[in-house]
Amino acid sequence: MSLKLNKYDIIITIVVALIACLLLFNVLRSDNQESDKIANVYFENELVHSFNLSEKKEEVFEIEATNGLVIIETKDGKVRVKSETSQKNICSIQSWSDSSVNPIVCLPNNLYIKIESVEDEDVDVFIK
Amino acid sequence: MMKDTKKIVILGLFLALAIILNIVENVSFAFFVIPGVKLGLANISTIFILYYFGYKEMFLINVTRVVLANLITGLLFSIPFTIAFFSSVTSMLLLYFIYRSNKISIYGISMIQAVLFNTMQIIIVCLLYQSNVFIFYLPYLIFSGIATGYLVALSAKYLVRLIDKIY
Repeated sequence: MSLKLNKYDIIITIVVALIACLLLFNVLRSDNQESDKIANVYFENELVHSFNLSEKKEEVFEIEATNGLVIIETKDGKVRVKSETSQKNICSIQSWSDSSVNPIVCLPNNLYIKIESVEDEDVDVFIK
Repeated sequence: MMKDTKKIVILGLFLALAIILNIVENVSFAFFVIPGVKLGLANISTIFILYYFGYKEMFLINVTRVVLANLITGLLFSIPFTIAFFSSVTSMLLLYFIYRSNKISIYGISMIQAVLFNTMQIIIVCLLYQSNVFIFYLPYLIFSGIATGYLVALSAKYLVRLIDKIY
C-alpha cells in the first residue's frame, strides 16, 4: 500500500461517485410533489400514528420513546420532530420535511417518520 | 521478543487513540443533518495500523475499538452499537479483496472503507427496521464517505510521516 495517490484511486473514486450520482438521480426522481401525502410515525417497527399532510392543519403527537418523550408536530403540510432526547439531536435539527425522499429518522429513539404519497384509486367514481 | 513487545505497545496506544476519537466524535454535536454522516476520525488510527502492521491487526483493533468505545459510553448492545459493529465487520471483510489487490494507495483504501461502512450501515438499518425508508440517505452517505475517506487518508499520511521521523 503506497502513500501516493495513483490512477487506480482516481478510477475507483470516479466509479463510486458515478454510482452515487445514479442513486441520487433515482431518489430525486421518485419524489412526487403533486400527490397527497401522509406521514406515518413508526416506533419499534410499528405504525403508531398517521398525519394527513394534505389537510394542512396543525397537530401535535407525543410518544414515550426509548430515550424519553418525543414530540412530533405538523403544520402547513409539513412534519417535524419538535423535541426529543438523544446524543446528537439529528432528527430535531433536521426540522420540517414534506417529501417522501426526506424521511425523519431518530434511531436512538427507535423512531422514524416515513412520508408516503397516497396513490389515487383506479376506480373512484361509478356512473350508472 | 523485543519486537513483539514494541508491536503490542504501539497497537495498544493506537487502540486507545481510536477509542478516544470515537467517543469524542459521538458526543460532539452533529455537523450535518443526515443521520450517519460523520468524520470517522477513529479511522485515522485504523488506516495507520493497516499501513504499518497489516490487515489482521487492523481488523482486530477496529472490532475491539467499536466494542470498547461503546462499553465506555454505556451503549453496548444498543441499536447504534449493533449497527456500528456489524457494518464495520462486514465492510472490513469486503475491504480485504481491495486491500489484497495491492494496487490502490492509502487514499483509495480509506475512501473505499468509508463508503463500504456507510453502505453497510444503511443495509443493516434497513434489515433491522424492516423498512426501505433509509435507502434515501444512501447517495448522500456515499458522497460523504468519499470526502471523509480522503480527509482521513490525508491525516493518516501525515501521521505516518511523523512516526517515520521519530523512529
